[in-house]
Amino acid sequence: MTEPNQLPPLRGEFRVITCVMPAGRGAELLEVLRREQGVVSASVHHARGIGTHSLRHRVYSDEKQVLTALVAAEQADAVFELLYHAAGVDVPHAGMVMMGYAFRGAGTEPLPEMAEDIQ
Amino acid sequence: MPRVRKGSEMKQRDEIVVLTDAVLITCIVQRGVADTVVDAATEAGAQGATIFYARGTGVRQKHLGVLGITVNAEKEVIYIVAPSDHADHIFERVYVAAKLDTPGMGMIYMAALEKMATYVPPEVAARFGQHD
Repeated sequence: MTEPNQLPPLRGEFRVITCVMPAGRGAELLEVLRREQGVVSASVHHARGIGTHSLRHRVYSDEKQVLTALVAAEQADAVFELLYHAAGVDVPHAGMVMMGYAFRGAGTEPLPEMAEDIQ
Repeated sequence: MPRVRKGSEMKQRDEIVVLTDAVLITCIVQRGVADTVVDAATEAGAQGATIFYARGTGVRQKHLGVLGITVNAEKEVIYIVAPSDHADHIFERVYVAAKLDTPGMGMIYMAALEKMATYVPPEVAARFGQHD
């Protein structure tokens, strides 16, 4: 049962950052996010990516990983740029980073003992 | 991946080309239907899609009656990023192709993206120039 001092957070400004990247980098990227930005509210799952060169010809199907992170709005741009470079999506057909909105969220605060490790 | 088109609002910031007129279409269908969705989306102009598996829970047994047992709980989720002025067309084509007007077939929704970034060839980025 929820204690009075443990009420869920109110509405705020959050961003959901989703990164589609080549498979194999997910775990490493979660660690980079935690170490450099203190982001612990992220998860990774596998996916397959399908892309086209032209509009009608399917030319590649790749194994991907998708990282989803919930971050406070003021931190979002920094996390976005970190992911763009660290995930290696700045080369052709590697993937993309996208940022959408969320207006209520929780779980973005790192544990106190983890805060010491954050650079 | 949205096409880079004339008229797109693009920003160059720390060497990241950011596209700000993109929309994320998410489609959740029964397992095996994703290829139909992707084919419809690419024919409608989408340049790519990301597909992953999920397990769906819902009210199908309760409200669909005997039809509920025909609905596969294993799902495929498809992400399609599209230019905002083209997204409605892709959305409608996928809706029809995946028969989403039928109860239990799945769902589709579209959400605005504040921005997205991917590889953009330098010559394409140069064509659009830089602005804040």
